[in-house]
Amino acid sequence: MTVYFLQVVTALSAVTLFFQQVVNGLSLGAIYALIALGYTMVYGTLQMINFAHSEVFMMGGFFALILAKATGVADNPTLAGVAFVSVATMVSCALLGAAIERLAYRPMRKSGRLNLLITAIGMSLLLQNSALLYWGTNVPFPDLLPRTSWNVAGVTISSNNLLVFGVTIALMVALHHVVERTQMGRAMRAVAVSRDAAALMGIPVDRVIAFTFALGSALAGAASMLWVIDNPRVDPFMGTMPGLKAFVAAVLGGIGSIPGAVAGAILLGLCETMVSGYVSSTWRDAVAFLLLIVILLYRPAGLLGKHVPEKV
Amino acid sequence: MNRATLLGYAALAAAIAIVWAIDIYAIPWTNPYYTNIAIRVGFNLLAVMGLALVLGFTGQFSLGHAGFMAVGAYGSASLALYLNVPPMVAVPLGGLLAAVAGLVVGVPSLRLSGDYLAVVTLGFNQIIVVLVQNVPALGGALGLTGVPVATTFGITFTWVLLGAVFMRNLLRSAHGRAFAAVRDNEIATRSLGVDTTRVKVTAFVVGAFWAGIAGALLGFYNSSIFPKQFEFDRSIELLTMVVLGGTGSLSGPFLAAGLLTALPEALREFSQYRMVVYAALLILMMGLRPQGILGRHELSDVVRGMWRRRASASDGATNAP
Amino acid sequence: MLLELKKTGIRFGGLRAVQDLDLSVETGQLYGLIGPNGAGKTTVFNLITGIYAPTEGDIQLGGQSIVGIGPVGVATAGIARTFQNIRLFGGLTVLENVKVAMFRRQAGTLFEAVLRAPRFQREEAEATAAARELLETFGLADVAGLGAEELPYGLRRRLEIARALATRPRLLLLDEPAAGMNPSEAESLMHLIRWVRDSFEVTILLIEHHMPVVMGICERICVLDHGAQIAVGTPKEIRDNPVVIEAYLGAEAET
Repeated sequence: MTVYFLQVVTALSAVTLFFQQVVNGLSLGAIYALIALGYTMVYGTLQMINFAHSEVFMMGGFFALILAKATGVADNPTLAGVAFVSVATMVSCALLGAAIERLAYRPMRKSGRLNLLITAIGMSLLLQNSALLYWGTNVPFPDLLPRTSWNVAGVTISSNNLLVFGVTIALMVALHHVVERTQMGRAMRAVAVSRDAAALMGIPVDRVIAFTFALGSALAGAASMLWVIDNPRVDPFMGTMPGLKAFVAAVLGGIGSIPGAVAGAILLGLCETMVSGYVSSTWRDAVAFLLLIVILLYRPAGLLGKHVPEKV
Repeated sequence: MNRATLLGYAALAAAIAIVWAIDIYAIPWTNPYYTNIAIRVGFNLLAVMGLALVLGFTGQFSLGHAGFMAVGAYGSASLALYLNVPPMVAVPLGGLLAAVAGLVVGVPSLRLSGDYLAVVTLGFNQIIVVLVQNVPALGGALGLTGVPVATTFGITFTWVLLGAVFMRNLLRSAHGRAFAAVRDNEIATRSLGVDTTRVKVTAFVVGAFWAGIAGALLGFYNSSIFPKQFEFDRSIELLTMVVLGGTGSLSGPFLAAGLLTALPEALREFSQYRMVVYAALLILMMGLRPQGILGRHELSDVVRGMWRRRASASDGATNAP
Repeated sequence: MLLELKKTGIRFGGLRAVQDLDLSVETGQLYGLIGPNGAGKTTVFNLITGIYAPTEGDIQLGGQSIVGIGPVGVATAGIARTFQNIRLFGGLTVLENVKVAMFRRQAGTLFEAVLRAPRFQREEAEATAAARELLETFGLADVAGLGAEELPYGLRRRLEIARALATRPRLLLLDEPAAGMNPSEAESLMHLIRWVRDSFEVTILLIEHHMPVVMGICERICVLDHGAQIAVGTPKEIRDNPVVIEAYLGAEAET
């Protein structure tokens, strides 16, 4: 009888562990998704890996810090204040993303993809080291929102989890609306299909590309806001790993595909937390990349990407 | 063996002799700070050489080159530490281990192309780092310490010379043409009966070998190795050297490796600003010279071109070819 | 029979790009494949050379199936080709472009190349001599040292043919060799192709739009329209075939 009882308890705790990891994984995946969208949209329009995107995410953390301090929200957090800081952070990131595109990438667009990539790497180094120079490392971020958590059948769900889900879903819906319903969204999709043809049809390609950068960067800003609320520290190198993971997620889902980036990010987030929960967190990164490699070897264009063979 | 070949061998022997003459007669009187920079330039020359082959000459976008340095470094250091293999025997063995790793990584991933290949190689790079971190015998995240010190200026640059001649001869052969053919047009290359996958894997394995040599020498120089030294940012640094030097050139990436290794040192006066300046210069150089320092040319072409121009100018000829 | 396509077809999704194609090319023949734009001619070449795998039917070279052996296998089996959009190795010289085609026959290993071993030296000298000879016969000897990208258009086509021949094929596929040429250039190319067939003893299957070229040199012609064969025969038979005239006129009328 006791043995039986113990078995049930173990089975139950195994089930709760699993669901706990699902909650954690979805939460991590949602943040990856917000960053991954920037990679995938830029890739869709320019076919470039924007290496500096992870630094836009990092700068978002610092923008949030500066804004929170400047507006007094840091000392006296109100819901409206936090919302204002969040929106202002997104706008700042959007401006930064568009500025990077205008100043560094646009002049390089004609000189080949490798050059564009190196320029992006240079931009990433520039932002990291500038941030290091101005702000230093490991800067504490104020607690903006009270933390509570609920226990649902043994699974802990924190207010931050809910915040991440809520914000991510809202932004996805908004993004879907922008891409599918607005003139600019249509233009973005046209540029993604063929930049030359879009230009011939009178679409202002430069403006569309700048808008794509701004949009992706705003989402990265939202991601960094969510990130620092949960991990209250900002650091010049905080973007490297989430950025890399988000990029992996974008490729996993099929780079250039918006639903692909979201699917890849959720899958990656789940996979990472499962490995952390069941194996060891030290193996987490290896498994993320192993997943990527295995999927690419079977589906060379990613989960939802379309493979376009070279025309002979 | 014909005369040109014998001359080539003689020139290599002479160059190695000069390196050792410098090692014996000049290095002891040189400021160790500069010797240290020179040796580190040497490691980067070896590492960048392989990537120049893979990316510049074969057109395969690899972002995981530092992973092969890690295999060479950890492989050779373990051989020396655990099996008492003499360091100078362990160095080529480290290179061979890296070449095997190159084969293991290359065979599946070279089916992919472009950015997908880049991401997969980057992934392998990170996997190698995580593997190393999780093996206690390799020191985990803290790294492997107590590696015997054996690398000197002479040894480093002997390897650099051997590597440079290896690459030059390889590139000027049927294999070299096959690499370039794959880079320029894979479909046409296959239509000529050339197994392009094999060609790509060959380039990858050779590139990994020299990265492994660089890693092995590094371990025997610093006496310690850390996983952090071989993360993907190191791969990106090497990539930067190749693109900045010129894809499709060997001496260009050499120049860039020298420049980018020495530049942060030269900027040391600005201490905390140096990485900012470095990054800004990188962006600026890409903008000013998108084809890289030498483009697809070699230093020898440039020198020859200058010589010819000077000669024709003194002849008074205005329209020399 | 050197090359035989038996009820060969390929679908891309719902589209049947080529269907039920029967094609027989005899050894030594100069065979023309014609048809309006989009008829599937290049797709047939891609099927033969293993770039696409047929979804139906079989393709045989000298009585043996070459389906599924891939482009490298097909080239090794003795089929060489040129491309509609010329595919030269831009970073290599004219001479080196031809020498790439000899890579397969060179047995020297990587180490022999690096060490400049005797076998490497010998094979390299042989390859250079053979490539030079080929360039000589194609009137490209003077530009052997030039980068392939620097060549004028007409010479690029010639170089691509020379390069294909350097693989010593049994069957040579030429995809629109006269494209972009004026009538007199096309005329001289026509003579070149016939001469290549005779002196290299190679069978040639060519796609061409210039009707005078096709009618002038091909011994047998197959006409494709919408992926299917609509006629096959001698140039005279094709010229008089009402179905062919209809297909071409129909296509003209649309454009």
